[in-house]
Amino acid sequence: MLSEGTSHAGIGLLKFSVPGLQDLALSVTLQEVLEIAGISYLTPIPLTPPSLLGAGEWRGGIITVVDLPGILVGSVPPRLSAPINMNCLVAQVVIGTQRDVIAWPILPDAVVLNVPAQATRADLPPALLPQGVYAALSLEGQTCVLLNLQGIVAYVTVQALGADFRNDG
Amino acid sequence: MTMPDYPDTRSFHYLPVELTGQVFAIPMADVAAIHRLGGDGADDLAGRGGQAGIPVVDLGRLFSPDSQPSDTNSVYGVVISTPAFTYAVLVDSVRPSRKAEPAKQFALSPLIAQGGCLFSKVLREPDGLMPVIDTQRLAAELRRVGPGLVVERAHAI
Repeated sequence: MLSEGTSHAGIGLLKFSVPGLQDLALSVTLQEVLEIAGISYLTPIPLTPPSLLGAGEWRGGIITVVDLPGILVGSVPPRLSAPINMNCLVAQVVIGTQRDVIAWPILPDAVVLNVPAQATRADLPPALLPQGVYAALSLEGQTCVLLNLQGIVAYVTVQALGADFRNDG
Repeated sequence: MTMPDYPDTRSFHYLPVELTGQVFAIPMADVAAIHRLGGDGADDLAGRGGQAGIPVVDLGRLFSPDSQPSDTNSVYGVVISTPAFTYAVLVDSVRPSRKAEPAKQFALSPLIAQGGCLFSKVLREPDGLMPVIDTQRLAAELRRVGPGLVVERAHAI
């Protein structure tokens, strides 16, 4: 699934795309990536923010699966009606003082790139969550968005603490 | 002197309940009664001896507001009771109670657990993961949703 990019000094990124935003190239630093793996038994957890698809099993433990497209563009995904299996990018983040692991579904086109430290900036695609993005880079004529995972985690945390997703009925 | 952390070797006894197509676990220690109901579930439960006056909450509608009310001929009422509170929930079905060994119990990640999540952990079952309802947090949520949904118990001093 992964293919090596051109090898030269720079920053290692994993470029990928996600269901629902197939035309947008996204990336994270290699240091944040733990694995691309099948997450089994993705189980929705009721009354959690819509950006959390649920809990899944990975390497004998439980991780959180997030709706990355929904977080980036503010859409609300349809609620899962049953546990499913899906291919996900597993990444590490920090929540408070704890290291945590999150994952999100990706398409099978991920590629490792070595990006020059002085890579050309590109215009940020409109309507993306500002705190979820570090920058947009111009790579081989294509715009690639470098994600800010900590910003995404902070956004989900605000959703959870605000509890504005719950039914007040 | 710092005591070493000994692993928790206790099994977790729980009641699997099904609603909105998903199975959840209720700690058996908090289950006071289970009633199979028919027709108007709420009236049936309230009419049972010893259970009168306990409001009944459709747990499926609470968890999934867009879901349709169960129109099956029978649903189940589970009375949850602790020294602090009592309430009753309607579920679609009830399965035989089980015990989960510590190796099958997993904490939810901080990202899910923050913000007053209603679930304390998940259980690893042969056919998937089963969220465990935190009955105390559910009581707090019911109090937020509607006054009177939880019957409070006065503590003797």
